[in-house]
Amino acid sequence: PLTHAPLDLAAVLLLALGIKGLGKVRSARAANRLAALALAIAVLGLLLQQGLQGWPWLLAGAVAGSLLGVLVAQKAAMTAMPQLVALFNGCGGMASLLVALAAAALPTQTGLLALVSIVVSVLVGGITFSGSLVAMAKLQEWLQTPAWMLQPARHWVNGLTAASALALGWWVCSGHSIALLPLALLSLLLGVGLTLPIGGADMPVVISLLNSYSGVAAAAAGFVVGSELLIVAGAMVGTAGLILTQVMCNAMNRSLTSVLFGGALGGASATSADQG
Amino acid sequence: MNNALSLNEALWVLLLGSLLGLELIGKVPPTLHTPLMSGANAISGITLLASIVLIAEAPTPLLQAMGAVSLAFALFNVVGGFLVTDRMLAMFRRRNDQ
Repeated sequence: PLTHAPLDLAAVLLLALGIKGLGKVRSARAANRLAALALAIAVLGLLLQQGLQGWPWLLAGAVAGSLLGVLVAQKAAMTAMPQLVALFNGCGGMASLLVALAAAALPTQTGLLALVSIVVSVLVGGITFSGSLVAMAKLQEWLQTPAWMLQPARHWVNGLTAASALALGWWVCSGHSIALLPLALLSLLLGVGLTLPIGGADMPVVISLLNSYSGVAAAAAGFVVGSELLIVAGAMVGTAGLILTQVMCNAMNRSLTSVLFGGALGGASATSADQG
Repeated sequence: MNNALSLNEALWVLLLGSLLGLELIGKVPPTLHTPLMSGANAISGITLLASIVLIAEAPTPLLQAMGAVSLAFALFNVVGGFLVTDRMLAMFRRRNDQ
């Protein structure tokens, strides 16, 4: 593995420079390309390391994903950018969830570390997926906040769902990997329950937070497959996303708690002002 | 799967990566909030590395298929994410030059 370390290290360096550069007007576009290059290097390094085993599956997944990505990215209207980011972000979360579910079926994944990582990846990946889809649907005005969702009782329901999910996670870690399926289901419910009450105007902040979650899910997937690169990149996006969420909150004069727990801000489907 | 990674090592990597992320974002002009979010989101699709490892190591076609589906989801995130960020930034540049 050491022989391919230079590629991994280069990828981490370029990713960091990419995120840094995206925050400045002059360098943003180049930085975005740098980050894309970093991901290409990361994939190249991994393929050099492990070869092309299972190449028909690799090819099928790669072609389907990139074709759809290109298609959707080019067709979408410029005004629909935040919801598009939400859609992409949700799919990243789903990827982490699926990887963890499948990895749980492998005979090598029986240690406590592996099980905890799988649980985190499924839980956070699921919340990211369903939460992002709800965020997208609300921004696209396909979905409005139902009145019952604004009842204070929702906090109890969400709390109960979260507690059940944690209990199931505990059970998985004690060796009952079958509990991963209900855990995945609960995490999806939790994502909906947490996002649905939030008003449209606050959605960009929520998407940024969910983006941070998908970084966490990726880092957990890194623990599952034993990839340092994936852990670093996931952790970086996780915390950078958290800071960006805070920055966005400040810009809107909102606190993160009021966004997350305050319910809809005025009209349920207020359109977000000047994002982008 | 890859047992070469020790818990100790992995936790150090996690800690240092997290600290790096905390420092990367400073003052960001509001116009760049959405593109930055979008770019960071594309990067989080790096979970595709896990899909690739899974496809190589999965013993059954079902698990390989799950790997392929997750790879498609992750690549959708990566490819779409970077392209859309580029579109946003291209518009931004034009608006600024005029």
